[in-house]
Amino acid sequence: MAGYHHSMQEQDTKVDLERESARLAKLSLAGDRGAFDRLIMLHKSKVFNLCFRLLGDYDDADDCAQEVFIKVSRALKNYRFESRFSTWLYRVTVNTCKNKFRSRDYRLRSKKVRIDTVIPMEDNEKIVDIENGAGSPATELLRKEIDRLIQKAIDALPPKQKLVVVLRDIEGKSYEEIVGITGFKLGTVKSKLSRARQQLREALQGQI
Amino acid sequence: MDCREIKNRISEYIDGMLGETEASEVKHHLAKCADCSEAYRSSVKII
Repeated sequence: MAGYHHSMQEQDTKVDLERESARLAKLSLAGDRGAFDRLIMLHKSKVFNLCFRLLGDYDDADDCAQEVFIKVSRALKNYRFESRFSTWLYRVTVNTCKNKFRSRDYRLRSKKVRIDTVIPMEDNEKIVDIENGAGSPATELLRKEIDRLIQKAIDALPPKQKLVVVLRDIEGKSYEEIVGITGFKLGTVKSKLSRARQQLREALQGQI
Repeated sequence: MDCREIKNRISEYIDGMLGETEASEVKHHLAKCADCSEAYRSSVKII
């Protein structure tokens, strides 16, 4: 969370990712199954990360991410290429997470936060990526502890505040993108974000 | 703006989402109010 600054290079990468996603989506719609698989590969860790941040549980996030891609495969024909592919994909992800929140089963279960587990992907990517970069074992331990405290504080936020703060401060989305993803009004995004940050500040005071 | 209003605007101030006049008002308030200034610094730290 701390220290997210988006350089020009990151912006270029973002543009490239959007362009490539749109290209693969068009190929998928034309019946190229391999293109759809490549589209999933491009976005799977981001989708999983978002699910994990919102749900706070590895297994739920894994189920949810799979559900997202099933929905995407069915709904891709309805994607109009008017908004960014990632905005559309995040909207599907957020809605899928919301459904999970609403499900009786989910609400009845006690939540477990397992952010301290770094989950290896097939391509050795790290899922938990608050602040990547190798450090000494002590630094790594400290980073994990801070990560755990932040996730615990995020998990305690009301759902809408949690959603907005995760999209802004972890996923680095702009206010406009958050409006597009959540369907909230700009004023709502601003006020929820302000309240979420104040709560996080109070919860983390003296801890990090 | 009083301290409560300033604290409600710190989030937007950090993101550069305030208009020039409001941003200037927040900036001046932060320069003279230790409590709001501390709230600002700790918000920057967690963001």
